[in-house]
Amino acid sequence: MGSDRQALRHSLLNCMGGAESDFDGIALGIFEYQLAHNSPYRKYCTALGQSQETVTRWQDIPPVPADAFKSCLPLTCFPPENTIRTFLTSGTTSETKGEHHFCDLELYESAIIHGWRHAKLPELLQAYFASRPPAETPHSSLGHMFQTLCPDHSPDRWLATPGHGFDITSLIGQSTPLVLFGTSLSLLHLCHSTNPIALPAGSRVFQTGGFKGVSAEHNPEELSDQICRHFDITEDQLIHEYGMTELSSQSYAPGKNSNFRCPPWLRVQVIDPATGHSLPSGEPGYLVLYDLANLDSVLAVRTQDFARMIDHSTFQLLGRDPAALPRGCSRASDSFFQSAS
Amino acid sequence: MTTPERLTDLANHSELFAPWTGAFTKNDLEDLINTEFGSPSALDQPVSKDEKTFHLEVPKTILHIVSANTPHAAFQSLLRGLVLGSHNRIKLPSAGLPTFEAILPALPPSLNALVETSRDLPPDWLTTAEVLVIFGNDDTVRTLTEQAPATTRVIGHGQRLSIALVLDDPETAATLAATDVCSFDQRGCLSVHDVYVHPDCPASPETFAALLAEAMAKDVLTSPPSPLTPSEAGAITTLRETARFISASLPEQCQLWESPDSTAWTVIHESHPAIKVSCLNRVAYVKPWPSHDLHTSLGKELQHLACIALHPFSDSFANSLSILNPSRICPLGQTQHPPLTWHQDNHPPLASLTTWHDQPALRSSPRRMGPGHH
Repeated sequence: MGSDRQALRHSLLNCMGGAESDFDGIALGIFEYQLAHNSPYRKYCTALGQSQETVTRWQDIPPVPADAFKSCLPLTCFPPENTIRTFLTSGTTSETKGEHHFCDLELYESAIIHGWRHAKLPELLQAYFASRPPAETPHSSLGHMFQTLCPDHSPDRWLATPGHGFDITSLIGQSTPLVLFGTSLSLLHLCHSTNPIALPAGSRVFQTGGFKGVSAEHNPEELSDQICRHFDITEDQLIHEYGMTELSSQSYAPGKNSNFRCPPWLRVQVIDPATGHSLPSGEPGYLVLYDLANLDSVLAVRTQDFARMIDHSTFQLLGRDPAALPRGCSRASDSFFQSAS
Repeated sequence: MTTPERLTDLANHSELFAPWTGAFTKNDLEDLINTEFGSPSALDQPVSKDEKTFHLEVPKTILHIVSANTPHAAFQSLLRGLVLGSHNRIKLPSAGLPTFEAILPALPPSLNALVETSRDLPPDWLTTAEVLVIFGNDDTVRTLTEQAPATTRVIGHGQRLSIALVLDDPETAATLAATDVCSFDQRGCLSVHDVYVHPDCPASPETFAALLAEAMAKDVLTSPPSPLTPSEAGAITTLRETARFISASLPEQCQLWESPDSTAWTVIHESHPAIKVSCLNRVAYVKPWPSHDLHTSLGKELQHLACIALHPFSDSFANSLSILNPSRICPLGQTQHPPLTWHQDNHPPLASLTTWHDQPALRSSPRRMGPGHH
């Protein structure tokens, strides 16, 4: 196990560092490694009639449904005692939450940092977050991402107050460009509960997560417009992120209506929801992600997000399937703010 | 128009309603009025009892908000409103309800005049309705209830599901359960989502699941499922893959039976007894009936329970299930055919829409007219 993993990890870190990489070769290597060390995944593949003999391209690696992370079967390639961090999907207290276990945060954090750089996003010297500090949300993958990206962890960076409101005092009077992070719903609450504030020229607002199934239906385009008006930024200054607790890597879409771009170690396919067969570029279907940074869990994850693939590194997100149960980091934030009312 | 004239018109056109309400005659409608109000003429004359007189007041206008998943609710709710002689405004789903809309031109003018439909909700409909009947999910019911004037009577029918319980005779039960699961592709509140197998049943839950799968495969041959949207099909395939994932490691906890190369039918055996909500379109769970502490074992979805179907049906066992507060307990195979007197969500079908005026002694009073003639 050790040498396999070390070699794969080394290849991955090289890939994240910008070296030319053989995605197919690394993906098949990780698939083989995960078949050997991830018992629930191996048994699932066996049930599907798939093995390292039948899978010869990364596109054929069987994806697990995201709900598999909610089962009692840990999707890991390491023994439970080696877990150093578990991130949980959001949901109400009565709902089962998905669990993504990690034994190696260095790899996880490398994917976050290099993914950000690969998207050519600004260095985060002046970053603020429309959420509570990570110390209060230790199981939030998004909180950990914020913390990883921003070197300054001083308390005034976290704008959500314990009373479920916002304190934006630290934004007032700023003159150097800053980046404001938030989920779709936390930004919506911020817009509703504070007076409009013009961010310094060159600032960006980073928006992640959907908002289906909570409070009311919100139109994504209207929300983007509202955020731009509230913070006096242009559409190009709004950055959208696609990520999920079940993955280790993120995709970014700068500006309104942009396509999401994946880093080199993340690829996508779109499948027919009824048959699971892959669809050609431009056809709408379910998004399947192949994230090599999920080295110690399972690299292929099937979502219930509708998308159109542009190419295997670019996709247009159409939205959450209405048939899917409400989920997503945005919802955790919504629960937090709703509890105040 | 008097009530007898209206009931005659309804009975003469019962074939328009029958697929969704069951067939009915004028006598059936009179019996319904008699059952609800204690007198077949209660809609037209005061009712006397114990030397007191009661006047029944029917709402002039009922607003029915109906959902898109099935036309059953629209037909049943309209029939109740027409029996009362109220003016019925029906807010249809924004995409319409073609099966329902198609019958309206076929109604006689006397009844057609009592029906208005709209795919939007005109603001005055909500403020002028005396009674508001809402079919939808709990959020819809809550939101519209908050928007209605405080004086409006609101009858809310939120999300509901039904279950079946097999006590014996598993082969017959499988055929009957397949009928109840497959009818209308599980889109109504009386649709069976979970089939429970009692510990005394000769078949284990796993064995019964296989029997049900076989019966559902046969049912598909005679009544093919409706075409599915990508979202509906995706819900089924996602659930199947999740079940397959668990089954591969824990077959004693979860097993999957599925139609090959299609989404036509799905059966999932789970060893945990909590009620699971199906993703619809012929997806059924088979589970063991808990031997104790029913409320806890059946879980939080119990609050949404509409109907329990039993096989074989017995009054004594049905009575023992009343602690679960279903609005209906019926023989398996008949869940989709409730009688006109069915207390949907525990509401009396006509009486819940009306009000009474009391007076101490019976006096000679003029014959009361229907609404709109006051």
